[in-house]
Amino acid sequence: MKAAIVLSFDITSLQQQVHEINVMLNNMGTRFSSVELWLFYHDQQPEFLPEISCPLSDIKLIKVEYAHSPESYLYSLVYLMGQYPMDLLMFSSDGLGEELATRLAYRLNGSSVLKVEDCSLTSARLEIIKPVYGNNLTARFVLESSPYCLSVAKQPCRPVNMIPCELLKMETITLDQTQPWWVKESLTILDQPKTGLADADLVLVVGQGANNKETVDVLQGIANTIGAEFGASRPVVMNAWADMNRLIGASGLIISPKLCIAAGVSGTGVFSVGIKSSEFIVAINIDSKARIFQIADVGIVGDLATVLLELEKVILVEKDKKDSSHGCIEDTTQ
Amino acid sequence: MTLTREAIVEHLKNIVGKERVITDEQVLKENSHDRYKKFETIFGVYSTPIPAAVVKLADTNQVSDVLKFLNENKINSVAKTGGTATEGGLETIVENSVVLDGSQMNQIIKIDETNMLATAQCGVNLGELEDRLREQGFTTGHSPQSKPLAHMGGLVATRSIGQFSTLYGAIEDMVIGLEAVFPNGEITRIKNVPRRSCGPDIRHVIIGNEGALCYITEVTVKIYRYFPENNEFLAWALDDMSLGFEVLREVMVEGYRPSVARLYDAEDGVQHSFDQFAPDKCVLMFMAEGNEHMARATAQGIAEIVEKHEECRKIDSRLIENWFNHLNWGPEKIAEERELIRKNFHIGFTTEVSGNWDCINTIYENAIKRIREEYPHIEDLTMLGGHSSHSYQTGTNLYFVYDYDVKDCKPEEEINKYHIALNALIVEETLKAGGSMVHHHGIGKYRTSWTKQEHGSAYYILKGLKDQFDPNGIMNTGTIYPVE
Amino acid sequence: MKIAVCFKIIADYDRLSHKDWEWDERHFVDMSFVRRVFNCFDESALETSLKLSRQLENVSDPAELTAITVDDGQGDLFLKHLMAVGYDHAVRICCNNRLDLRFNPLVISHLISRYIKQEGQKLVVLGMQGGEGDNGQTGFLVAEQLGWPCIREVIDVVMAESPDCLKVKSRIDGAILKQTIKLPMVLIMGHSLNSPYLRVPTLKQKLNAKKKQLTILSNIDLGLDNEALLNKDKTLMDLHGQKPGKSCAFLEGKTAQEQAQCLYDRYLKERLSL
Repeated sequence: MKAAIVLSFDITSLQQQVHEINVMLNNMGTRFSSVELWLFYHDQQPEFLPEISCPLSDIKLIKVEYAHSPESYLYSLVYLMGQYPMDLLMFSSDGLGEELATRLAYRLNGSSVLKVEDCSLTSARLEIIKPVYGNNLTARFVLESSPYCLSVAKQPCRPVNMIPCELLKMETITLDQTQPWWVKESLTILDQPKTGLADADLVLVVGQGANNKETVDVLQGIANTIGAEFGASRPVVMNAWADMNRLIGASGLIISPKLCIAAGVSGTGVFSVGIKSSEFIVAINIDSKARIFQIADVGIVGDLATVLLELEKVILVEKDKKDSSHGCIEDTTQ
Repeated sequence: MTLTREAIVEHLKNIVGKERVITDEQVLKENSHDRYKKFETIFGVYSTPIPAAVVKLADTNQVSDVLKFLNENKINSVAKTGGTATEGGLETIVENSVVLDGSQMNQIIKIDETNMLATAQCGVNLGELEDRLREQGFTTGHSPQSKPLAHMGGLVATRSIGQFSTLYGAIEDMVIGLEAVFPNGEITRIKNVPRRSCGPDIRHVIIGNEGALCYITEVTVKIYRYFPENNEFLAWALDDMSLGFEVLREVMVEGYRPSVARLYDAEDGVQHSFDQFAPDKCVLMFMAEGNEHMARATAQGIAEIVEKHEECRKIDSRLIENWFNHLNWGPEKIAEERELIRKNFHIGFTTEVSGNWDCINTIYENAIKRIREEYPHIEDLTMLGGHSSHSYQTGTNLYFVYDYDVKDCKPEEEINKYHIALNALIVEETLKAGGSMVHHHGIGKYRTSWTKQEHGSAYYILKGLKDQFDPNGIMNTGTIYPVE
Repeated sequence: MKIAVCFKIIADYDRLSHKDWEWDERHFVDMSFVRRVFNCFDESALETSLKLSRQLENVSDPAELTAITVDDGQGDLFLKHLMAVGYDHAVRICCNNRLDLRFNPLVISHLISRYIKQEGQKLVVLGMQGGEGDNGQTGFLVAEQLGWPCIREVIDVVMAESPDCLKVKSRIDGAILKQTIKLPMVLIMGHSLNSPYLRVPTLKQKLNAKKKQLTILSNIDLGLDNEALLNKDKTLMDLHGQKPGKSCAFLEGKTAQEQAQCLYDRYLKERLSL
């Protein structure tokens, strides 16, 4: 089976996307007869590439003129599939990857599926596993028609390294692309900058149990004091109590810190998938039956603001002790 | 001579220690009101005078010392624990009031399995007490929707009632003994005995006093064996409320005591998604609870009665069970409510009353009719309905529920334009028909203009208590007793 | 301007406990005892379209709103609700209810695009994902079938100066994209802070909506026979539940102070690098 990985070089989370694809490739274990990389770029031709975990038989660099128009990518992909037919195409987990996987498969009469967690090739059948029912269950499917276009599932953040390009293996493809006539005007505004959530060791995630913006602000302050990054569940973000770039869950970030404190979060399926890969989870909720306790290592039944304020005090006291004991050591050496 | 705000704060700090006297402005604002004024406060408008201080009381002696001081200096106090009051009972309407917060008196003192008693300080959260009891196979039987947040002091002070009252009774049936402190500092303790005939039952001076006579510091309630495995839900859809009341009456009069007995009209049912399985219908539901034999007999007996009425169509009990298990007010529900209110200027309230069987349907029909025909802003209402949720041998209660868009008015005007106006129509019709204007929320501060009409000649007895125990008028002025 | 908004009603999964997640031999989970709700992205799509239609009230081509769902009957209440909040038409497309459409966005999109071609809407709005399948593909497929441009992760839509265009704001990699797009188009709604919830109808509006009729169509009415509704794209093999939960150690402690100290001493000290 021949496969191609389709990515866009200019996406800021490229290295994370490749990690997600690597996870899929490693899980599959199956050897494809060949794997190519089809890499779209807009401005400069890439000199470094993200490290993909399997050997690549070819790297095709495709310039895309209208970077915000999926049509430009689709046009190029249809052309590429005509020239270099693949059995399976792997797309990134982001919105662009999902759109391209779906629309390309449609144009080529193939099967597409998104948020693929696992994929295996068994006696010429392609089987995939993906979440369903609001991340409460997973389902296993056999895909019927090739080319198979899969967009991989999001994973906790482990961005791969960038390595220098092997120029011999690369070819650049330039296609004439028509300007999308339906776009009369286009303007990009930089959104909220990325937070440190993706690779923080300690994260405090707050849910609707915080009650109001004032409390959320206090909790954000506590997070700063104790050295934790701050995340929020969907209701908190949708109430504008916290910024969108702090959203944790199926439609936000998937994190896997060493320690995650989930406070005032009930623990729905779509939220839990965002933190369940954490090494250690502490849950604080006033309801002893809250679902969050099912994925937590340690639970506290109580008012989250009160408990966290006390925790902040405890940690500050410990910090002071450590700082002053360091001071003593310095004194004695003088 | 009245003390200044600052002087009051100084004195309080001397009595309880400065860390127990809170004067942070936002905290004071939050403590000036309760859920009656939820609309304006969500917009940051606090039209009630801000108290001088919130005192976090540590123990009964502190309550006594503080009350003595307030009494000597004629300073108004408001007793508070969980803060889930809905009728203005926690509003600090007098300038420079002091909020006496008992929520830190939160020890469960004793669970006595032999005598089936649980003793808790006033600041114990009912949800926590209930969880602890259930671990050991017991229950208080008290389950108001505010359970996750309410505390024992407030629950007794307001004569609260829970969702399972039809079996377990209301708070006054559950309380065995009490400790309360009076304005002059007198600490009184009523002992725990099963029953006695030693003069009038003085517990009833304390239960329901809404902080207008004394400060409750400790409560002992009876506890029951808990058999959740025997719970059985039953529900039917029917066409109109008058039939529903009739069937409800038959069940009660026959002697059955399900823990839950409710009747929803179609409008109220919509907000609970009942229209998804019983569109345009009233829903009558019961839950049978208790030991195996009793629960089963109760369920069977009720089904027999209801099914004699052909107009009642059975509903899958799993629907009701699932709905019921998600009914309580957690902090999440309240937070969601706040945001919807803030974004859409849309809010909902309730007015709940009671009446004997022969007048309850009249109250229901007349109140709704009056609102539809006479309320000038009916166009702004998005929901108007009602349900009965606590039934007795002799009658039942009735919750009127109404939601509306707040149009063309400032946050602090909402209360007069909508809330008070709608409340008044319902109260008037209820009193006219011979019912009671408040079933379990307490009079608070907004129905005091009808207190005398409610009690009639018996007001003499109620007034006597105030004259005796709070002659200086420092206990939650404006609550229960109208400000003359 | 004729606008169509497609939505899906789902069971309120938050009201299901761990033991409720069971399925029969056809891999169907019984959720008949749980209330149904709009899925959150569809709800934003419905509200955003209402806001847009209010903007277009006084123009030469005012908005005509149609709400569409592919459903076996439980959606009727929601369709009536939508007529009460201001939708002009409410359409339910129903199919043979033995067919499993949960994981078949291809067929759902065919039904929708046939309806659109028949009725002539120029704007189609859908939520980005929802339903049991969480497929996330219906919008893209509708765009392909209609041959229209498609914008994903839309956060807001407002009218443009030109009557045949709309101003669309959407989320892309690390940025907000603001475009003026010429109709017709398909918009796929993401997280919309402007329109997180659908508005509530007044009593009068609800009463008026009771008198209105829903439009019920079948796949046959749209020219698709039952054979065409089979899932030829993928076959469901089985469902799997969550892995067994951890056993959570609940901390004792009468006060928050005790709980916090216990939490730190026993579990956090070794894990925090202070």
